[in-house]
Amino acid sequence: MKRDRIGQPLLKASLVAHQVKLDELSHALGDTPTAQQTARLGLFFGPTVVGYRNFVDAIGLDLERALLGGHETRWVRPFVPDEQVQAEMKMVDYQERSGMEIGVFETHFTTPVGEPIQVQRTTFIERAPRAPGASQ
Amino acid sequence: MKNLDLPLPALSTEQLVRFAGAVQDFNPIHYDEQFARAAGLPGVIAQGPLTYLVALDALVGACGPEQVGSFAVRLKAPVVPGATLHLQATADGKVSLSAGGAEALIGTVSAAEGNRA
Repeated sequence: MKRDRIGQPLLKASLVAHQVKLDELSHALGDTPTAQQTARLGLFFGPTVVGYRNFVDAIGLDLERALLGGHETRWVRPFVPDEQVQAEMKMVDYQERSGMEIGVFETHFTTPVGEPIQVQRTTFIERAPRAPGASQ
Repeated sequence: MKNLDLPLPALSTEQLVRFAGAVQDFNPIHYDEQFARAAGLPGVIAQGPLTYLVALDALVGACGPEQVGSFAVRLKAPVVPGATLHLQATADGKVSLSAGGAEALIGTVSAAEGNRA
């Protein structure tokens, strides 16, 4: 993980909360009675708003060692179907602990004029590399 | 928030694939069995954000979306397709989700300020 990226905007995106994407997420949730409402709360996952590969490349994440450690969302309101949304993600913290690297990323979702919609705070853990010759 | 004790449907591999497409998260640990095992996992695992949203959906179903102002979790163990899911929550906002009997997620939920549309 690239610790020197702390504080820098890593990803910026202009998005649309397409109804078709809400439907896709609702299907992924098993089309429960509230899946559409939940989809409006969680339509976008900050680190992947411009594709997971861009996020991985931006912070130098090793996918074989990376795990999502935690996630928080603070909502002002749900996304409205077909509204335009701006997203900006920064690395806000980095620590090394017991051989693991821990990075915290914050993504702010706003309207095109800057009104807040939600903030996500996401923690990724990159486990230590396996010792050479270690078993799978 | 209120006390909850809810069995939830197990996730299917199809749901993992649908979620990957919906959020453009194509990390192979969610669909490539060989890659997942080489990474030291028991097999393909659910996306953490999907696990998060499954728990959130249960809270929304029980309490209504207007009651959820924030939801913060730590992911404790991977969720594999087919594992039995169980969500518990307390009136003071503590939430846990178990998968196959193991604690997969713990967190806190807080009520929204005011009433959201």
